[in-house]
Amino acid sequence: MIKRLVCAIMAILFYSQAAFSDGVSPDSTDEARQFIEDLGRRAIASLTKVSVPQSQLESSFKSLLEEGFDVSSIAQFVMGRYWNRMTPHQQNRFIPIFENRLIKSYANRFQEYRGVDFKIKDAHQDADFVIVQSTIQKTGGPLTPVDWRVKNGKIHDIKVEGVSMSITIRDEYNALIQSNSGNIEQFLQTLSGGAVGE
Amino acid sequence: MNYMGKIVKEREFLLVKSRGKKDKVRKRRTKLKWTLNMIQSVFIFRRRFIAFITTVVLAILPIQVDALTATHPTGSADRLDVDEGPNDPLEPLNRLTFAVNELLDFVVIRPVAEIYRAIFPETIQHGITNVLDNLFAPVVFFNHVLQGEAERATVTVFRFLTNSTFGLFGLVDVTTELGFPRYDTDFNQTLMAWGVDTGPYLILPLIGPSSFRGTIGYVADYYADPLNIYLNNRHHFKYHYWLTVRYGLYTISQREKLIETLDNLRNSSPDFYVTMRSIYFQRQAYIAEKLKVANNMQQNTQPQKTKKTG
Repeated sequence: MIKRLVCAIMAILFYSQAAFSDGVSPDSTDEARQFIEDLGRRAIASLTKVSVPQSQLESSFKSLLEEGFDVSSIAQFVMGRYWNRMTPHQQNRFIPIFENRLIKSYANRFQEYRGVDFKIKDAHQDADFVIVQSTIQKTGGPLTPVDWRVKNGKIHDIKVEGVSMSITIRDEYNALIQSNSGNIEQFLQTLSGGAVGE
Repeated sequence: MNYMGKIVKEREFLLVKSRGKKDKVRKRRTKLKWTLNMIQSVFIFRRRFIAFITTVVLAILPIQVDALTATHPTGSADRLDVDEGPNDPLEPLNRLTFAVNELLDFVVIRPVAEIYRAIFPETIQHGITNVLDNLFAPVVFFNHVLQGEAERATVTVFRFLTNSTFGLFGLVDVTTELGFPRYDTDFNQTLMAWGVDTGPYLILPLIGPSSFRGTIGYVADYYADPLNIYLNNRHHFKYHYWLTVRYGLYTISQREKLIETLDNLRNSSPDFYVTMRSIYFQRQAYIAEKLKVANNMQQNTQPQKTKKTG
């Protein structure tokens, strides 16, 4: 029994060693890792400050969002199949409304991440994207894996423990459009009306 | 079975007693009493029977529903590039249960979780979580075995033995310090590993977001747990009280960890029901992916490319 246990333990140690031994990343993945590391640290530094007025928090989040995220691509993604059913005018109206909602709902969330341990791990290519893996750990808390989907130096999606920001928003918006019986105009009004987040 | 045994013994005892007195009336009464007891016991066992039947029906249903709705996938796949409706045919019922759960959470569970956070310092909270997690180890072990995860099963046994002794009944998670972290799993994940799909989304009263597969998982895990079996077979209130303590404390300690996360989600969501449903299916797909990776690692077919920095 003990022998087997030791064997199993050795096996586990061997696998965990093997997991860290290989991997020469191409330049693009290294670049993406550098970019996420830099942006992540700045975000944690500027958005977790204590007693900062809401407006200042929102403006620093806005600048980070515009610098690091491809907001128009995300906006297109979250609309899913409804994107092509929107007129160009509606599309142009939607993007700022969407960005504003992102700011309203995420600017405050970083308060949760005060003093967390942010680590960049592996990065790998997935079709046109580079997936940068990282972990966030609150002191004494569990290790939370966070994946960043990067393309051309801009973030397209964040996955926290397998939950994608873009997919969640897309599901919410799809349901909202359906509850407005597919009426995009009504949907845009509901969204900009600020039913949520305030 | 214990209960049945008790009834049979009781009958024999009473019959012997009545035979000694040769009192026919008493004998008849005794028989009547025994019959009533039998009926009562059938009802007690019927509850388990109903639970069993429910489990079987729930197990068969998703397969049939999936067959019927082949063009309406379950949403458990990675849905990055395709738009598909969620697998939620019971949405009206689910929304109702969800609303009731939300109310219960607002009135009872969240406030109690707040009190729990306020009363206990973080170290004690960790201790409580460790004890509760350690109590789940037997079930976790069974599921690792059923999934064919030999190493994880071994680690779970090692963790359980070490933490229960050196770790003072699981209070201190000494094995994680030694480099053997907890591999959590449940019967839902076992079914997942066996290739069973989530089936339709189902909100359970008190427990929250789940699916047909998840429900089977909860039922199976509950009845397979040695501690639950032990406590359920003792027909005395004080044993059942410990069951309530166990699951009550577990619920509260888990809810405490999610206070901010759920508040934030609720505040930023246009439809909290849809948000939670989306997250549920994404999490299931993520766990399935992780299980697959773990299996591949075990078979040593897929080298994991990892580079660690910082």
